[in-house]
Amino acid sequence: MNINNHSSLKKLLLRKNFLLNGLKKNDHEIFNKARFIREVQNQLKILYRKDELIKCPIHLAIGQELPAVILNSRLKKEDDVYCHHRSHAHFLSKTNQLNKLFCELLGKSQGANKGFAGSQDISYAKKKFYAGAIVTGGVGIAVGSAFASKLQNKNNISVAVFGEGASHQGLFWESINFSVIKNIPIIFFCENNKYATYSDYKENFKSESLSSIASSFGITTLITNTFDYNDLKSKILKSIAIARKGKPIFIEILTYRYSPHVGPDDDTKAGYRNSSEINFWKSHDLLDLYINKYLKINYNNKFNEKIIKNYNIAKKLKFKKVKNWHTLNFSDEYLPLFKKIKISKKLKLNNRYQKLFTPNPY
Amino acid sequence: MKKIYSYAEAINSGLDYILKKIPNSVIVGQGVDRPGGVFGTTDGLIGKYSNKRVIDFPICESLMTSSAIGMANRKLRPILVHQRIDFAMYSFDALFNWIATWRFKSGGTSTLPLVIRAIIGRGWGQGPQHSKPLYPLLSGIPGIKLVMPTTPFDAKGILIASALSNDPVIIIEHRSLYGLKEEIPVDGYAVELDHERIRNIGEKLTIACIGDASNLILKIIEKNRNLKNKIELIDLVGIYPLTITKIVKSLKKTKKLIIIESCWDSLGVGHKILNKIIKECNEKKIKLEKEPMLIGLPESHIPTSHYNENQFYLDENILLKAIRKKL
Repeated sequence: MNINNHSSLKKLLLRKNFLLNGLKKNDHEIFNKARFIREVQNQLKILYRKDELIKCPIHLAIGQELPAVILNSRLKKEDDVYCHHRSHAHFLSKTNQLNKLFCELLGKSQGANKGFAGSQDISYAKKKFYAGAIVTGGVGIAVGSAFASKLQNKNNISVAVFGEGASHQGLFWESINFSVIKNIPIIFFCENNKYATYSDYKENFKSESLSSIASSFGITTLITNTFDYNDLKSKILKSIAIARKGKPIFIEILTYRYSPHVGPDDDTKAGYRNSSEINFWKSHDLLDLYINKYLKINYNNKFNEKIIKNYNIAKKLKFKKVKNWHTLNFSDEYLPLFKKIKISKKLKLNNRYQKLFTPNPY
Repeated sequence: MKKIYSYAEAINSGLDYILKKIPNSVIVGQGVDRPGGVFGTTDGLIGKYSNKRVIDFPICESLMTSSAIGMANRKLRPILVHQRIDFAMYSFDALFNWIATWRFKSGGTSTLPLVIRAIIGRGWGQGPQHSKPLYPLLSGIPGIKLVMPTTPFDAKGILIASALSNDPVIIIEHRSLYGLKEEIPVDGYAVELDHERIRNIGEKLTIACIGDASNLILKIIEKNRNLKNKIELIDLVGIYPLTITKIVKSLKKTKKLIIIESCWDSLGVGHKILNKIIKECNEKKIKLEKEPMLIGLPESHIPTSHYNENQFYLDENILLKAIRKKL
């Protein structure tokens, strides 16, 4: 059966369960990291309402953790990741900075962006991670980054992480086309969670799958899902290998978020999906499957203590007053080619007026 | 050494200097690699610096501007050109949501050294979709500097300074100025971005120009020699951030002000600048003798045919009348 969208994936899952067999040490590390990220998000969901201290939109990615962890298990430090607004899983996988995440969400100056970006715009330049709240914009930026690597003969790759909703914009298809004609090292990392905010893929595209549209531009496409671990891992690693060889690749990962689009509260009342749909996908969740298989009964969540400790440290920090808004927006710095940017004041005073509209030769 | 360059040649010489001196700089835009590219401003650069430095781009302005962010973030220093500012409108997302906010939302930890040249296509029948003076839309956005050089000397100096700047800079060029000639240094030099250029010294009336009008005023002065010592002509090269020190200093002497803007009053930056000038004059206890005057373009789109276009723009008669009235 050709699994290329959520309907066909659902049919498959109704017939069979994927098992977690033959996991190696590296796979256990991946699962543990993904469990940790899920627990961070579960805790955020509680703390958001309990404390009412996180005063910024948060887009949880519960259910979508594995692709981020697998991707970053194989990326290099110098590889750029431009991520969508649902940033927590990718941020933690790429940067490993839980404390900087919490401080950022709480608006503290110790945050990844001194508390000015919040959840959806968080970035960490040191580790080459950049998220943005306007989803397709990051895709175009990733293209420029990959193009720069090629121009500089560097072996870095760039990853554009986006949901299928990003593909509604013209910029998205400009990006796919340009990456093909210039043959640049980029992964278009599509986390297709079925919904662009609240609208179903099927309402927005006639084509059965996004990959098939993308492939018509001449880009190599891979399609996988977050319910079949071995396939997911092998396809993500394959996409990295292709990009590392200097080529663009489009990987579409069919996934599902159990968490709401935004905020911590149940959003089924928005009417775009119901809890039985959520439960269906949740019943095939790989992290739950992993816990059941390997951690068995009396499961003691060892992560919570660390998470709460980090959150409390961030919570206690004081807010910092902004001293200069200008320098936040402008560096006013120059490359030191001229010691001081200067002008010769006298030069233009005796304007020997020359003929104004001399025809331009071009 | 100095040489007579046209405005277009001055930009070409500036780009050449940048490519020579800043090894990671690249020039990106539609047709930058063609002979006579971008009104001659990129002519011949491809032969000297190869297609890895002088990069043609498909007709997708939105991606072009977006991708420049990625390039700048990968330690390149891109200099983009939008052949018409009207085309740059496709890149509003990249400009306002990403470039402008980049440093701020990084908490000041990351900057984007990139330059965007945008050309206002005045002259020889460019019409309503090729010559709109849309620069005020790009002015006053924290995170993006906006400059508008109007002489070959400033065009080159501002371009080089912009390429050296670690902040994003948009340079507005008027196509009508490309043939304007001036003797300028052959070697590289830089001009401050928030610069006011005094182009004539006079005692009776301060004329501040935003855009390409100052050349027309000089032409009027040339023809009416009695105005030579009366008009103090100042070009506002830096539009945002804005410095008005020289204008205020000049008003202390002349006490009369005309602002001429190459845009519609309804959209332009003239009102904002006037406001700032008045505020500063009040603070410095400079009392203006006559009410300041703001002259903009007729509030209409711009006709295509050259003959109709000539009716539209400010001409010597209108300006001379205004000058006589305020003197």
